[in-house]
Amino acid sequence: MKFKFKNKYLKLRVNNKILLFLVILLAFILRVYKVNQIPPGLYWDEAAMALDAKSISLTGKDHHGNSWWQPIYPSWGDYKLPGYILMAVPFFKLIKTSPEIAIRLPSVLAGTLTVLVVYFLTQELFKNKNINKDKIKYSSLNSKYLSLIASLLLAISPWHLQFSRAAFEGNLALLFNSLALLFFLKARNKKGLLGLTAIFAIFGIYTYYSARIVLPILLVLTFFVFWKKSFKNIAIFLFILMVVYLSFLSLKNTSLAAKADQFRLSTKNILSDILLIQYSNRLIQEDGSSFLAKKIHHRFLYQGKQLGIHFFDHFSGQFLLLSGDSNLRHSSGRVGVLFLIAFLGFIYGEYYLFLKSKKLFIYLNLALLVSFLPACVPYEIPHALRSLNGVLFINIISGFGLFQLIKVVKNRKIFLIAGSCLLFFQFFFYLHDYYVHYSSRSFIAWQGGYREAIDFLNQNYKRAEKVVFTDFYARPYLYYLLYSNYSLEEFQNQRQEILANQPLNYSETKEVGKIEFRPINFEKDKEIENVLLIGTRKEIYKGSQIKNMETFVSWKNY
Amino acid sequence: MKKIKNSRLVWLVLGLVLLLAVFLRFYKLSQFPSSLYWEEAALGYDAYSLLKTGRDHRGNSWPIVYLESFMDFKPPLYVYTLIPSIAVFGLNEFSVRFPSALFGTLTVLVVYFLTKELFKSKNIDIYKDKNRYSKYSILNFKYLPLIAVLLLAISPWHLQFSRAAFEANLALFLTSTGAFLFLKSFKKNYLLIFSAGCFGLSLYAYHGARVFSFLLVLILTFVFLKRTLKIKKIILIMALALGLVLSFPLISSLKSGQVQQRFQETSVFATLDPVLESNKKIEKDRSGVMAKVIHHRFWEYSRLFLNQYFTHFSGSFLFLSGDINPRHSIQEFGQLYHWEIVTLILGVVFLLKNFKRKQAQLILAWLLIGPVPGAITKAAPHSLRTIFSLPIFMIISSLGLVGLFTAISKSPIYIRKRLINKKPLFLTVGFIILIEFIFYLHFYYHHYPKLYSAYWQYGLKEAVGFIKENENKYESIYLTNAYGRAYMYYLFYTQMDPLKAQDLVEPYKSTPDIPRLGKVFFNLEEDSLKKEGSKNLMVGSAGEIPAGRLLKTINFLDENVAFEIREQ
Repeated sequence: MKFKFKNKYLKLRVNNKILLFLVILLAFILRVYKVNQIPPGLYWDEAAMALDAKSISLTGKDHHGNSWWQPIYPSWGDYKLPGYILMAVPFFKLIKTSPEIAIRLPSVLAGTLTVLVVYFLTQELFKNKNINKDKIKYSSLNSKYLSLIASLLLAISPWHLQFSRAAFEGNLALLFNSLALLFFLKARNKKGLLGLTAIFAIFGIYTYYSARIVLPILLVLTFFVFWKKSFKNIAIFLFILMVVYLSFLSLKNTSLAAKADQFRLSTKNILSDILLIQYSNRLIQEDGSSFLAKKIHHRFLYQGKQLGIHFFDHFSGQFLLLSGDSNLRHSSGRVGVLFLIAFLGFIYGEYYLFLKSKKLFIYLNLALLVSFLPACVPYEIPHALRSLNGVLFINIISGFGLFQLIKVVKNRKIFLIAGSCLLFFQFFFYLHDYYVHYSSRSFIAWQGGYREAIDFLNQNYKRAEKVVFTDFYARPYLYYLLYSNYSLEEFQNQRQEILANQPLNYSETKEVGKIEFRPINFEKDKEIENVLLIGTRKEIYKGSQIKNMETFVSWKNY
Repeated sequence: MKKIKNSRLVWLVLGLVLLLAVFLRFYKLSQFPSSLYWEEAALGYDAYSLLKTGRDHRGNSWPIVYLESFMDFKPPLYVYTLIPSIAVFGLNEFSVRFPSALFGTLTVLVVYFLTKELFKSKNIDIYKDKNRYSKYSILNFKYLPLIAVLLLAISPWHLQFSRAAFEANLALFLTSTGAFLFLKSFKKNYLLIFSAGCFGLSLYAYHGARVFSFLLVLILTFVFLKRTLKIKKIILIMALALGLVLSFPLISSLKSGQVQQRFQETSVFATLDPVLESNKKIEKDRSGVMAKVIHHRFWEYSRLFLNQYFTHFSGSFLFLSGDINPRHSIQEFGQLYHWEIVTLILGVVFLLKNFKRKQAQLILAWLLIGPVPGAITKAAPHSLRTIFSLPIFMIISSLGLVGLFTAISKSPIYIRKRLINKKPLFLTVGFIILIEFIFYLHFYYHHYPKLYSAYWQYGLKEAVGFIKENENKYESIYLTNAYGRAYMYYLFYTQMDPLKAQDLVEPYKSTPDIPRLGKVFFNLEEDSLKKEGSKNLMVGSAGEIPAGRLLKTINFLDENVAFEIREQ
């Protein structure tokens, strides 16, 4: 009897590892398949990061000639953090032919690894025996299958897939955040793992801007909910926080930090919205500007209300189920953040957690709220990238809910079959739309056509005396340097000369070699001798399309 | 003895709640909202016209299916309730809004009985409760209906629409009564006929009811199928017949031009984009059978519908700022109070937990069909079209409110550690509700009029009054149509004799905006205004009429210029 039991136990364990491997494999395939073609074209940030990574892999300096060891990369004047760029450098050393693959591979791998991390994270979260004092055995809430379902949901999550298939710093930061959380939970028993927590937290802060807000809050929240609050623990935790904070300070004290913050806050956000303040003042005035009036019509109320509105926008049917983010780079536009079945699981998960484990309910929902916070302050809402941390918690709750739902309908096969069918169909419709229709729909959003245009330029470079390339799609010089063999050292020298006279001048470069990057005035420009013009159809109405791309046409007079 | 005392208490509290409802709805009814908007003026004048002459201002005799009005073909029932009101109070703001306020108050009463009937498990629920705690179940809580109607009495959503002539408010009263009578008919079968009558009448009260009443009747029938089938067959047939008779005139007019036009203007489906999108995708997939199924236009139209549907559950709409139309919401509050987010969630959790009970099924189904009339319209979320789910929000909120206290007492270790005693909780919750209520009133009466008086077409009363006083001094008079439907305001505020009005309107019978009534013009292009040597009175919006001696300026309540009166 004992022997039989042991066998059964062994069998289960083996099965689980194989299933996990299959889930990871699925995650990888979904992320890497045709990743160089779909999404079509690198968008500006990808191209900029690719250029810097290529530049470092060849010369050890970024394309402005600054050393690779700098806490903030000026890039095209948007002051990027170094995390993703440095991660991409090894890939650029290995893969010389396709910058698309080289720059996107870190994101693909990060996405795949996150699926693995979620598996262990779910296990850690749900394994606490002291969930509640009701006589519910903790095993009814926990199971290895629970973690499998959660990681499977993340593997097929449209929200996560969208960002794993292109070079988004947010995705890499998601990996670091989840690793930091995982090791923080595991460190309850093994204090040494706190070192890893700190390391990944620092990586996260040096990869993506919102991590500096979200991660510390998440860590504090996790500490309060899951750690025993003994003096020793509090001391250790504060120490780790301080280490992380010090690393963040060294980022803040660099010369470019001020410019970086200025750039980040330049988009319209709640704090900069004057209308809210005017509204508040107007109401105070109408009430005679009394002391009470100043309190009940305080601007914080209206800013808070606007924050709430932005927040609720992320919980609208449109964002969750129907079309996701309105930015076509952040969502395919035909699917929300969750599949229908996953959404059902989410609802049931919330309900079940509320009834059975208030602690986990509060923790997971607060973590979700905190994840959405960076997305709620600006006015570009809903924002799927800034809130990407939420994908972890939504899928964990969703996985939990599905797990419980399966247990409920276990005996009625019809529901299981219907549910699985619904999930599969929606998933395959999503894949069909993504791989067949999405490219043409989002072509311009991804600055599609740049590669083909630059390739065309390279072919005709020798014969032309002068080339004018439109800047209609913004920052064309990045793409040129990326896709051509123009000497990066030369360009770096050019940049260093300019920087020597005007430090902090990181505005667009308008000239590289024979090429001028500016709007094309066809009537004037066609008179230039031996000129090659590459522009939009509107600018060059007589031009010929480059390789059937709707975005660029060319014209030459030799 | 104790039992009698308790029930007396319930009646007393109900009376107080009704008194509160009456006060909140009738207090300075003619001044807040600041002025009549054009639908109110139109309803009022047509009722006046019907009262005096038996015809509306376009000459139609006793319209039943549609009121032509601005050629937007309104449902006519509210106008008929206005006739006695105007006969008693005269043609003014108060009489126009009186029926709405009255039916709003009556709705509070009806919802009380509806809730009470719904939760009397002995009558309705055949479910045999094996749980020995059912005696203490929230559903059996005696004061639950009282809490629900108290919330309704102070509800911003209901107050906003009870204090102006909104036809939807009347429809809400009728559907709630219909639902109540339906539930009561399980014991007293003959009431089913009256229920059918109420639902049938609601079709003539508001467009949205035409979708909703039908769905609600379906839901009531199917949730309580066994009970419904136990009703005497003859009654069932009579009720069904009455329903069909009342709906028939509406169904037969579905193909008419008026309905088609309304469809084009308001429906979210009145666009060919989904078809184009669908065809494009099918083409790209080489038009196979699979492609036609996957990219069928039905999916595209469904997406449109679902998009609009889900907006009605958004947090901004429900709790933060409400309907974006400033007439439908004061913008400072959502459709519900802020604290209701907690009680709503608790209430829904409670209902899900008790999903086996018929009451829970009905409430949740009613909640889900509520947004349907709003989901088929372009302007979503629409608080007027989805007003029918308002009582349900109140009921769920009251469940959550009561559940708040019971949940805390049976709490897990986490919250219990903070040792919340019930009395402080009661005081805190009561305090929060009171504060929000007071703040709502402050905003409604003090800031809202000043902020949004333009949306209520403020100033037209004064403008028309000025015209009336000085009419005889001028050859022609121009009143701007910039704020919409100026001719109706002229008719209303001059209380023009309806027979004369019908004559003046006659030549323009098929124009939505009448351009001229006698010597008053509403269109600047009219030649009579440009005749040489004539003395004209021009009432224009800010900056519209640059020349002429300025006689008077009329401002909105926020000090912006509404009208400039000049003579040329």
